[in-house]
Amino acid sequence: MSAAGLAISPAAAARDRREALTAWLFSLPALALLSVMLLLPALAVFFVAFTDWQLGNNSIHFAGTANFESVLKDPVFWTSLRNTLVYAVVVVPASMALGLGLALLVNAGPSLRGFYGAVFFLPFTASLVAMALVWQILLHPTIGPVNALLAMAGLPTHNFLHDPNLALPTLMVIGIWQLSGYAMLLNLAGLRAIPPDLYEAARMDGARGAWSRFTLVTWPQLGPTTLFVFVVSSMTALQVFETVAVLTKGQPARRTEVMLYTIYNEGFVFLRTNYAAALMIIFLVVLCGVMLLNVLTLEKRVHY
Amino acid sequence: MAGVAVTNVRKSFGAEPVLADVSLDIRDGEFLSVLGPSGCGKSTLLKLIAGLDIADSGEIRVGDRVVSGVDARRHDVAMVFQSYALYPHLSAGRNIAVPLEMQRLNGFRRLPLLGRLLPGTGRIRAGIRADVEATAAQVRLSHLLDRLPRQLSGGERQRVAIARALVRRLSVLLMDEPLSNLDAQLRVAMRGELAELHRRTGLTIIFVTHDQAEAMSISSRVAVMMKGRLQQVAEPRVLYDRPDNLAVAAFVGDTPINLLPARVLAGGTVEAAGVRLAFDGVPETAAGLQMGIRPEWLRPADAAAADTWTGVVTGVEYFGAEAVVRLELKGGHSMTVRWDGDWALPATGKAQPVRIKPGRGLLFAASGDRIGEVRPADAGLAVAI
Repeated sequence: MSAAGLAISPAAAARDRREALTAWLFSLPALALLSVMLLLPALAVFFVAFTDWQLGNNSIHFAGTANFESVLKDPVFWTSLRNTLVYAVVVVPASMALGLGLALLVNAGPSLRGFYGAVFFLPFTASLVAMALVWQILLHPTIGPVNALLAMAGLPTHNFLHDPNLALPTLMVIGIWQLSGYAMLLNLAGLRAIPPDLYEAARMDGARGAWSRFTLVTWPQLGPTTLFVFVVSSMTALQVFETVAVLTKGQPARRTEVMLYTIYNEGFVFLRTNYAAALMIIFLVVLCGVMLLNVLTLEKRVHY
Repeated sequence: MAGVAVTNVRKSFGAEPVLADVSLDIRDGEFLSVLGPSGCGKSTLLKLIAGLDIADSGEIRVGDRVVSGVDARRHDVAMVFQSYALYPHLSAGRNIAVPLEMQRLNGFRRLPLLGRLLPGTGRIRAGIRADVEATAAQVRLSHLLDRLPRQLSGGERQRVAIARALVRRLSVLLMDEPLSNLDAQLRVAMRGELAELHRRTGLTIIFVTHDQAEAMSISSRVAVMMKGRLQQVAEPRVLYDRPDNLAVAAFVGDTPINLLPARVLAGGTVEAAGVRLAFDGVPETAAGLQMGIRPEWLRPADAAAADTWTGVVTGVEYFGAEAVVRLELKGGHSMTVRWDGDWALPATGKAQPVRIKPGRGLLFAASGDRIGEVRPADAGLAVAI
């Protein structure tokens, strides 16, 4: 066997190079956009977090971990983080359970399935800023229909969005209202993908009633859907912003101060860019940590 | 032990009748196949017997109990599904245990963790485990009980499905095309295992299939079903040799049966494409007859004679043990001949005379029903013109 037989011929090598070049050229627009819109800003945030730069400054100095230290010493940060986590811990399971329940109900009746699906999914598709305004009117202390109903029923009325004990729970209800439609739609798709054979097998095996069928077939079969809904809902809930910005602005008494709203305030209202960048990075670490933990513990229990 | 009796059962989906007045008696310990093309209603019949669907009218008995209109779990029959329908999140052993858990553990005892705290649960679970292991050993699965279904091969999943059906020790087993998802070699092996299982357990097995070779090779009787009606219920040999009608004759047999237009001559002689065969019991007024000749019943002849059909060879398919030779007769009729692998193969384009084996030949009336009997071998030699 000659050595020439093993070597790649120059013509083939040239063709490979041409192909690689073409491939890079084709990906160039996407790469450029990705860099300008995502990678470079992310790098910039990372960089700014370690400097003393604030919006409008002409000079920039390395500040080490000073920004991070002041974040961790700031009680507002801790209030904000706690509020965000409490919000997510309530909203995510509640919206998932409600979404699953709705999906089971909508799926059970063959008529009007599309209608109910669309109605419940509407909150997720509509702009949350606009929906927040609707909620503001609904919950208005004097002209709102919710208080009017409470009064008619002889119950005490509330200033939902300004009562320190009710503001965050009220935002949670709105969050659940929005996310459960999304959970329902995905669960509905998941339910339809369950092979009917499995339900027939369950009946042959003597499964009595809806609960046995649910535990033996429906719930395990929805595992992958549930994991997906969980990850997306958690992300959405941890990044709650619109309802806070429109309805409460973090008040009363910082009871509705949440992470994204704090970052927004620091960066765009107080113009402390370096501080906001440090907050952003800490929040990112928290988000990634929570997700990683959840996916790692849950994925073992889900069977694809 | 129990047989199954289906009496005057009807079922339609909307305006579409799926089963039209089906009556079928399955004897205790019998291996009965329900054979038919897809959409003939055979799976619907099985679901009615299983209790997964309810008949519009008619009665179904398992043993001496009427089960029509009763929920599936009280039918006391087991079923193996075409897709196996294993619970993907449970190990093979847990899959097999499900019917026993449903039967022996109530809702509270089945609860995770909490159920185990109730007194007696442990003892019941140990009993279930022992039964699962015994059943698994029966289908040679003992070493695979901890695997999940997706970690098993098609044949192993099939065995898990069978074990799940056997574990309650019910006397009737329904199988809905259980072999159709297996590859050809495994299917033949599994066919043997099923026959062996039937012999060992004495179960009454109702086996639905669209594969006539499968039905013929493992069943004690075959029920042929077409368009929602039972066409014939008989032993495989009877089905093949003496099909009740044209539809059954055409559906049963590897190579399709040859059909030639035929007419009655005087004295019970029937002529088809120039060859005469003697039949008994054919009315002389019968018209629109067709003669059915299985490809296996034809033999090559040395030279054209009065009792031979002669055709031009249009194609030869050689399979090793045998070959299929296609002829075109005068008048445009085509004929398929099953050739023994040892015989010299004819050349395409040449004229080839063939002769029917003595005592063979079927006659069908215009309605499709079989009429008359070919005269037995000694008297049935083809009559010379």
